[in-house]
Amino acid sequence: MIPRLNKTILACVLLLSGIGLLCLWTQAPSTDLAGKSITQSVFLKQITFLGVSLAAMGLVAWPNYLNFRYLAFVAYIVLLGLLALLLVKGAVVNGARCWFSVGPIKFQPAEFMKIALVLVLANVLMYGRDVQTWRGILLPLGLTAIPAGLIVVQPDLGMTLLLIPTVFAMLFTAGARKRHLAILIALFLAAIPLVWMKGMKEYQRNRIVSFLHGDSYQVGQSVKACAAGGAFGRGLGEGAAAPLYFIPERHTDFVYSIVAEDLGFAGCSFVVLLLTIYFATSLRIAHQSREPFGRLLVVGLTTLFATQTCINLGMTLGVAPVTGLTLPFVSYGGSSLLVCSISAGLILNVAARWQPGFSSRDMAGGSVEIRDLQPKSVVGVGQ
Amino acid sequence: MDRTRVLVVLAFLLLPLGGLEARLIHLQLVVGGESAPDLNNRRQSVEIVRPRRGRILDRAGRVLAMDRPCFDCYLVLEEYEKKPGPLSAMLKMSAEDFKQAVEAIYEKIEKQVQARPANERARVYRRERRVPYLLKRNIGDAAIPIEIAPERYPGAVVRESLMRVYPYKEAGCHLIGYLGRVTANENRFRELLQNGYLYEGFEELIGQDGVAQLYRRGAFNEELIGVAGVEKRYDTLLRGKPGLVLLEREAGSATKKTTEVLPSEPGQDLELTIDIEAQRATEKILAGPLHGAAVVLDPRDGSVLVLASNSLYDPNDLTPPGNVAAVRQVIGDTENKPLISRAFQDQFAAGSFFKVVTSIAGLEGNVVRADDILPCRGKFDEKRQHFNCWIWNEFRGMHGDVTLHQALEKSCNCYYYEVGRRVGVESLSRWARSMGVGSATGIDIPGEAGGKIPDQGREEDAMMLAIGQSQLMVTPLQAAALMAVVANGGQRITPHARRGGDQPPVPLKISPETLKEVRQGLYDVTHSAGGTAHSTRLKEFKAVGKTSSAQAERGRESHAWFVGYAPYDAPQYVVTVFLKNAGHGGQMAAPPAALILEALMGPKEPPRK
Repeated sequence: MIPRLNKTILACVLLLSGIGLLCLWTQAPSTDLAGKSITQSVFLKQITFLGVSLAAMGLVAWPNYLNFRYLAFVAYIVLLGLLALLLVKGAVVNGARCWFSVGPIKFQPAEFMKIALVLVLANVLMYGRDVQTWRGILLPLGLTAIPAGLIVVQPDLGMTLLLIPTVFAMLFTAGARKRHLAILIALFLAAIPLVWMKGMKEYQRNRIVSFLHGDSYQVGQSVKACAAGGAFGRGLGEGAAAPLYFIPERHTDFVYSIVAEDLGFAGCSFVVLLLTIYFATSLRIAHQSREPFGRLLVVGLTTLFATQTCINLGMTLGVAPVTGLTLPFVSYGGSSLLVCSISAGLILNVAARWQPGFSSRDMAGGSVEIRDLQPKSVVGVGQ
Repeated sequence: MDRTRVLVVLAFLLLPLGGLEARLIHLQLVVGGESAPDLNNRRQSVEIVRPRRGRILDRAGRVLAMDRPCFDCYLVLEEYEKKPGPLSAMLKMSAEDFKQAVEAIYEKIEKQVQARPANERARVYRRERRVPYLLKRNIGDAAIPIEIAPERYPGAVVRESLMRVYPYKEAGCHLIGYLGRVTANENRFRELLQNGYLYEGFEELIGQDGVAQLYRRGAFNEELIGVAGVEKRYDTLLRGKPGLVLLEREAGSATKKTTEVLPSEPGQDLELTIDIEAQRATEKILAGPLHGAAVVLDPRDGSVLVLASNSLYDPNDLTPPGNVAAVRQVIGDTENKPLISRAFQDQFAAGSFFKVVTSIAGLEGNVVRADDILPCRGKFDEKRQHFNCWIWNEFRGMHGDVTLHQALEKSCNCYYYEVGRRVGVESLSRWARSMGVGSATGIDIPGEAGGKIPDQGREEDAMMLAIGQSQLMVTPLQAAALMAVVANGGQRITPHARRGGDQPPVPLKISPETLKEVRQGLYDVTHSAGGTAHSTRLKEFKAVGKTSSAQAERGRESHAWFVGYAPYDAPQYVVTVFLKNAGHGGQMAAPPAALILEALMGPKEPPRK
């Protein structure tokens, strides 16, 4: 085995992706409208995505993550350009411009922006010098606001919502004053009416209103299917053979309803357990890491994907509005799987190098420059 | 940096996950645990709600096509076969027809069963035998007894639906068009399924599975789309958007809960520029053994008022459920080809009305002046045997010295041979194309014929083309578009059938003097004593124009044309009348043109002598 590989993270990733494949196999539309079987082609596509994603995960986990610090800025700026370009030239799907179509591949810049943003924020916040002042908080907030603004006008509200808890968790971990954060949260809450009136599209308002009224068709269908699962489910593949309820986007956004219908409470709890272990282990890595960039990176990524998980599960179970966010690792879709895997790779990377005995105090003293640290020299220095 | 803050973040993240687990317990163990048997017995099926297709209206708002409610009869095989009632008699179907209809239902079920994996087939078969399938459309009054005493007709289910009705029957059939089953054209059906035209917005609500299930049930097979005319051209506008309902029922219980998931949107009405009364009158005027067509345009904007051909079909017969015998007759009539409009979907030799183009090309090209005198000696010259004036061919006569006015008035060939020789084929064809002859006019009705015109040739070709012979082929609609240019002061218009569908006219840079001379010539045709259409009632409607007697096939009468406009002082109507192999334009085509103008403008007092 590779030394210092965090096997818990890896196991969670593999199990969750496996469950995703299982759901896809049993639930994917079996034939297209021409009557041709497409189960295999969709399934093979996802297997390919998974292979590529795992390779990407390994690739990202390999070099010292500190090397990504400066690369992150480049990625951030390129993705900002792409997001801006998307507003002009993107393909419209369900009324939103989220995708670039490059041949058969659909590319969603916002997905990749999530990771680039976390990297950039970790970079800015790692020294923690100014973070206790308003001025120090404004820079990270501004860096978040630009892509958030570009994503919200696509419009992709769900993706934008993910960025807010992420930047807060990172500010908090970096040592921002609680008073400042409290004031910011109050400001955000105060801004909600304004966003509701001006910032949101009619269909988004409708989604939330219909959710609050409890009459959203999609959510209603999903909740009924979940409830029908009971304790142990209707059996794998039953939902597909004789669908009780029609659920749109079932193998992508509503994949959890397949788990719920076919495998019941037991299966659902298993998925929640795996995700909980994944997030808790990640944060344990962050907690143990003595290196601020890595710690902030892991906290940011974990918050991001945990929030996404909660919103997706909440939507499937009828306690959150429909936002079009996928369930990490489980949902069908290349972009989502790739981004989740890259994030897992980064976490594995930090985990493999969590032991350097440098604290911010050492660096403040100027005795060691971070860029001098090579993995080999880092390893073996005791805590 | 305080590392314990990471643990606070962890706590914040675990909190909602715990909440979701609690929700799972409630949903799956408490709610699901209690009523799980119920939920597992519940079945949802999804059905398409067809929207009302938009009406088609004429310029006065008269309804040319509309959806009317009707009753369809569906059959549940299992119930019917357990105890067959006197259903076929009630529906006035012969035993043979009824058997065929039942066979067709079996075929549909079989197709569905075959699409499923082997282990599910028996179950799907049993299930589908309990599902109502369409047996007969538009059953009329038979719906009432079935509704009143359903126990007498086991398995029969009456449902309300819509059927397309064309109140004016044949009138304007080529322009209005008709509907057909989307499955009639396999490739088009595939294409429409691929691009989602038939189920716009469904996928977001019932997922690909739901759409696939609808497809397997054949729900799209009964879909109707426009096959011809404006029904085809404006199908997207007229059809509206279909909606969806979910039917939920407990197994073993008849009660159903219907939920509207997607409301259907009715199609928009389509207003046409056509005048259906004038259209009908024109079709009556044209009726007879001779094949013919007539077009009336408004030269100011290109609105089509009349687009008539005299072999017609009734769109009520062709649109499903339709009339099978009538469809067979229409398709089998290879002599009259009623599906093709001779007004714009077929092309013919043009003849003398093309002299209008030659005149303009000559005057604008400065190769001849209006008051230039050219001689007509009957025969053009001794060398060229076939270049004779019509007056020589018929009477061994000649026109003598003629000017442009006289040449147009008397349709002198020799004058135009000379002008054509001077202008040349290229210039003639360039002018013709710019005025709308020899290429499709771009009318908003599918299937327009393009016409034909040579682009280059020798001197003799130019001379032949100058009198509208040679390889020139035009549609009556193109002839009307050409005359519209003269009528409206030199602007090329695009004929259109949809109201408000005007495309901006294209000015052709024809000098007012040229137009004045040509118009004077056209005036003389109907008003001067020597004019080819002088002895007709066209004068009453202040109509001017040009006749044609185009030589077509050897040994048959020539095609008769009249192409003109009225009133000459403020043109409102361009009229083209074409009669195939009818003889002289002045004798055969000009009188019907007067009748058409009468239908449009009302009867006029004959002018005092």
